[in-house]
Parts: sequence; structure tokens; C-alpha cells
Amino acid sequence: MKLAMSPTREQFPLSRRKIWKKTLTRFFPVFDITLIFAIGLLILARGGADFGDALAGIIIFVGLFDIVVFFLIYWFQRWYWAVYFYDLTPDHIIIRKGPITPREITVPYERLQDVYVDQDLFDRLFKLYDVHVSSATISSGMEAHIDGLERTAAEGLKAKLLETMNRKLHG
Amino acid sequence: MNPLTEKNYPVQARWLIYAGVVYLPVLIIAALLSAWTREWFLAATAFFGLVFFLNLIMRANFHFTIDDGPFLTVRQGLSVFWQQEKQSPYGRIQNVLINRGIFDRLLGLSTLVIENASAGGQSGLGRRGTQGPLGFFGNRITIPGLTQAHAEELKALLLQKIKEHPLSDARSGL
Repeated sequence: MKLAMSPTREQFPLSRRKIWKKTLTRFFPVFDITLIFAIGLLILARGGADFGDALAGIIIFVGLFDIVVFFLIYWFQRWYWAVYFYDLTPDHIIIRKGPITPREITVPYERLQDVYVDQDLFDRLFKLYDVHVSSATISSGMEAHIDGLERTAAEGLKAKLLETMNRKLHG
Repeated sequence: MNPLTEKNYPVQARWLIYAGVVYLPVLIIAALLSAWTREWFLAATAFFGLVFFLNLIMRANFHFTIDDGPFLTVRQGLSVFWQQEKQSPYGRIQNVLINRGIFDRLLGLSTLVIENASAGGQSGLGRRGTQGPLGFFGNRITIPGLTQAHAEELKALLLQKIKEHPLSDARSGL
């Protein structure tokens, strides 16, 4: 899988752990639903004579389904991680994500309002950080973030952004 | 420089093929509610025909001009019914986005979105907020149906113009 490389990504690379984090966070709801579904089926099969067979069948079927879905999610997240592009050019920051339907945002440094770094629960488990920038529009707040960086990369990217913003603002 | 217009970066005709497809979920729900009758099919055809026709007219009436001045001029309208014109300073552009939906990818097209910081468009929440019909609404100007190369060129041109025409109080970032 070809990586969408840039000088910025080489300097502040996206962690591979992001693939696992996103796979797990997207797999959990699927797992929960199939678990509830399996329990539902088991309750229905409770009164039957060949409950042992039903139990085995349900477990195998649901188990196989979950395994297949897990690999599909992993494969997609691997693809997503590979084509994730971000670059700090001399004038603007450009971020492009999405393997099937790419979405790209370009924000000139003078338009950046703030830089913030956060971690959700799963980020903390995987020791990953998200760097967010935004201009004065709502959609930039939703689109302009680079998530899945390790600590040194996140700190470095944040420092570089703030330094560039400062330079542009003060001439 | 010679003024560049939508003739240099046209909205491709093949965009019209899928321009109305965003309404498909609404129609599917309506179909399920009306139990898939023959009348529904006729209504759906008429609806898509209307959408196609409106998009055709809007595309014909969509104009923009990039020249040496500090403003981007955009005109849109629905023929005789209404016409609108907007002058947007390059220095006020906040973001430039290029999105490619599934149909965009299939037909080799891109959608360019230019946003400024005006409050008019902040109702466009969610990922769908950066898609939208052709033209300017609220804080964004949406130009779908551009070829990939044109979208990239137009983006580079706009970024260049932002650099060339900063507004005197641009240090605030707005």
C-alpha cells in the first residue's frame, strides 16, 4: 500500500497504532450488536431439544461474522492510514483524508485561530494524540485535524504550527 | 492578467448526471411509505426531471471572474426568476476545500468549496455541510463538477490571490 508521503509526514509521522485504535473503536459497536443478537437467538433456542447444537451453531456463525467484519474494518483503516496526507507548506496547511471519497482542506496560516491537542479514551490507551487547527468556519473545526500522532510528533507539529503562525502574524 | 472565468474552469456537463442523486434517500423513504405504487414512479421521474432541469439552468447561469482586483466575483441565478451577485475579497477566504464524493470519483470530477467567516452559512453542520448545490450560499461558494486538474489549478490560483491581496487587518486571521 503506497503511503501518501510529504516532508511533514516524514518529520511528524502518523503512528501505526492509529490503525489498531480505529479498528477497535469501530469494531466494538459491531461486536456489541452481534453479541446481543446471539444472546437473543440463544434465548429463543432455550426451550429446544438440541440446544447444544444450536449453541454451537450460533457461536460459530456469530464468531465467524465478527472475525470477517474485524478484518474488513482493519483493512479499511490500514488503507485510510496509508492515504492520509498532511503537509505544512510555506503558506498553508493542507490535510487530505479518505481513501474512497477524499476530502481535502487548505487553510492559510494567517487564518488559523488556534491549535489544540487532545486525547479521547482510546487515544489514551494507545498513547496517541490528535492535533486540531481551525479557522473561523465550523467545517474547518470538523475537518482540519491530524489524529493518531505519537507524543513527540504531536508536540513537534504543534510547536511548528505555532511558530509559523507567530511569524506570519508578526511579519 | 486576463480575467479567468467559469469558461476556463467549467462545471463539466457530466456533473448533471448525478447532481440530483443527493435527493435519492428522500425518494426511497417516500417510496416505502407510499407502498411502491405506479404513481410513485411517475412522481419520482417527474421529480428527477425537474431537478435535472433546474441544475441545467443553474449551471448555465453560474459565472465567476478572477481578475487583478482584490475581489472574487460570483454571479448565479435561475434565469429570469432571480439573479444574485457576490463580491468576496480574497483576503477574507478562510478555507479552500476539495471534496470528491463517490460519484465525483466515478466520473473523474471534484467539488471545490471556498469558505469565508461570515455567519450566514453556519447552519451547514455535519459532513454534508461542505457539499451543497452549485453556487454561493451562506459562507461558502461551492463549485461541483470540476475536473480534478481544474480544481487543483483553481485552488492554487485562489491561494496565490490570498497572498497577493491581504487585507490591512488580516493579522487578526479573519
